[in-house]
Parts: sequence; C-alpha cells; structure tokens
Amino acid sequence: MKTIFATILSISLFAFTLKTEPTKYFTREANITFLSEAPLEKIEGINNQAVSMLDISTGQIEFAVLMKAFEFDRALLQEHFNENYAESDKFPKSNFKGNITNFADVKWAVDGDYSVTVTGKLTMHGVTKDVTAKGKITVKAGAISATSTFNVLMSDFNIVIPTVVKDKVNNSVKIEVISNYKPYLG
Amino acid sequence: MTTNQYILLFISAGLLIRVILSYFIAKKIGTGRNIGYKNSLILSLILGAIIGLGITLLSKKPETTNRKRRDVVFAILLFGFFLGCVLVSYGLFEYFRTNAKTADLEADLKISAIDLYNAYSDNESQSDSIYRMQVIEVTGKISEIKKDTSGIIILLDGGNGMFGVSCSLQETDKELKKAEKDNTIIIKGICTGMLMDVVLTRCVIVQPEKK
Repeated sequence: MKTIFATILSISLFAFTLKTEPTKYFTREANITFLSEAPLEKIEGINNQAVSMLDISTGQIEFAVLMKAFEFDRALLQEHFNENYAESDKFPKSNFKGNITNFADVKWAVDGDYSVTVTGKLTMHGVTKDVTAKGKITVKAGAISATSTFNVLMSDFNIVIPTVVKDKVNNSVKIEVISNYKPYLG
Repeated sequence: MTTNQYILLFISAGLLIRVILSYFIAKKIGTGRNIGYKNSLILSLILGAIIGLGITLLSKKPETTNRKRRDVVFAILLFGFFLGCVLVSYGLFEYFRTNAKTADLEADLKISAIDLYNAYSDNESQSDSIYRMQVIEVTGKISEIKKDTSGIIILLDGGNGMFGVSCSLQETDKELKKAEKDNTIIIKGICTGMLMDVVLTRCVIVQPEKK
C-alpha cells in the first residue's frame, strides 16, 4: 500500500513539475553587431550565431560569442579584425554575464515592451570589464526577446588602434544585440 | 580564380602590352623624328599604341638625333609608371576583396554532424586544432530551420536531442527551398568553434533532400 501511495505521489509530483512554466530561456541565434564609425570608414561585423541564456526568475542574462564567426563585407576587414585587433586565435570567445537590475519591473507573462538596465561583466580579448547597458525586453504572445545597444572602448580591452588608422577605426565601438528567446528544456 | 581576379589580370596585361608597344614606337620611330621619344611615348600611352604610332609616323625626321641619356631616364620613369599601376591595382583589389565563396572551396574534411559534435564535446581544444577555420562538409539530420533578419540558421542534430551543429546560410542559397526538417542534408561551411553547438559560418548546401 505504502509503495503504491509513494508511486502515485511521485508521479503526480513529476506531472506537477512538467506543468510549471519554464524560467530559463535560451537562443543559439542571437544577433550581435559590431560597429565602428570613423571619419573615413564604417566597419560593421555581424554575428548571428551568438548564444544567450536568460533566467526570468533571477534576471540573470548571459551571452557568448565566437569571434571568428563575425562576418564583414570585405575580407581584409575580417582578417584585420581577427588578426590585429580581436586576436581571435588567442581569444576565440567573448562573453557577457550579467543581471537585469530592474527585472522585477518586467511582467514576463504580460505582453509589452519593458525598459531594462543590465549590468555585468564583459570578457573580450582576455580582459574582463564591468559594463552597464540599457535595453528593452519585449514580451509578445509568450515569446521573449531582448535588444540593446551600448558602446565599449577598445582601449578598455587592451586593443590598441595604431595612430595610422585613427581615421578609419574608432576606439569607441557600438555593440548591438538582438536576441529572440525560446524556453530552455534542458 | 574569382571574376575580380580575372578582370585585374586582364587590365594588368592590357597595361603591360600598351606600355611595351608604346615604348617600342617611341624608341624605334619617335626618337628619330621631330616629335621625339618623350612626346611619342606620352601620346602612345594616353591615346593608345595605334594612334600614337600614326602621329609619330606623321612627324618629320630632323637633322640630328642624340638623346641616349633621356631615353634611359624615360625608361626608368616608364618602369616606375608600370610598377605604380600594378601596386595601385593590387591595393584596390585587396581593399575590395570579398570572402571566398564557400561553394568554390574544396572541403578539407568530411564528417557527420553527430561525430563532429561528439568530438567537440569530448575535447574542445583538441577539436579546435583539427577543425577550426577548416572548410568542413557535414552530413546530418535537420533538427531546426530558422529564418532571421540577418540570414538563415540550420541546426543539424548532434545525437543528444538538444545541441548539434549550427550552420548559418545566405537566404539566396538556391537549395534552401528543398531543405526540410528531419531530412538528411550535406552542408559545407567554415568551422569557427563551439559554444553550445559547433558553429559553422558561411555555409552552403551541397546536397539536399537525402531521405
């Protein structure tokens, strides 16, 4: 009798856990754009295979990206980006680990746009720096997406831009993030 | 060779022929005439060898001809001009060069999506040394096709139900229409490493709809 009861209990518990709303969301197709606008040249690198995790119960948000997966329209830019600046062979990945500071303001079950502030640590070129970025969370028909645009200084990450190319490469680089999440069932 | 390279080669060859012809017209005919080596050369270079030759032939022969030193100087200038042309065209070519089309590249390695994923999840750094930045032809089952603003991602099953090989493709890929979920497909792309999935960029479909 006891074992039957225990079995029923565990089955119902299992069913209950299955029913709960997911709190973890992820994407493997986040878009990250790297944009340097200098007087003589606009350089844009696009990566649409960034990975991101979002935990809506804690507001924790993470991104990871492979530097070599940034695509530029001209091959020379891509080679210079990987060889001279990002040093992608030495530092193949960049990542961001942070928190949505005002995540309590976001109603995850109600459709709408929510302005958020994210603070965390950005690791790039082997250097970790604190970064704060403003962004937007959009909830629409149960789907969650996040966008953000922020600037980082290359010099903060020990990336030196030679004086010769000062007019072509800006030390301040704009990073654009677009991330459409889906529930993580792992 | 890409179309751009052919055009560049063609222009360079044309320039070279023009310079050589002009030099001979100026040296052999122009030097002995009133027009002189210099003017004949400039005319031939700018207007083309045939028109330059015509004008040079129209010029009359003078009494004396002794311009050896000038000839040497102009030969050097000519060489400089040609070298300049080559350097400028090389520079322009490098500046506007686009990434090689994956369809034109020979695959360095052929592997199944499951084997590639397992190799990476077993030992990432070792796999990086074998596969990273290589052109890889991957065979696998499509577990997801996702269209995005900046392209298309096809996820190949890695044999664990969740992760696998993520391939980014251009929307213009003609074979894309035939790609369907659960079909086996062969995709060629450049391996850039692993995040949650093994990431392949600049992919093209080699063979679709193999059931």
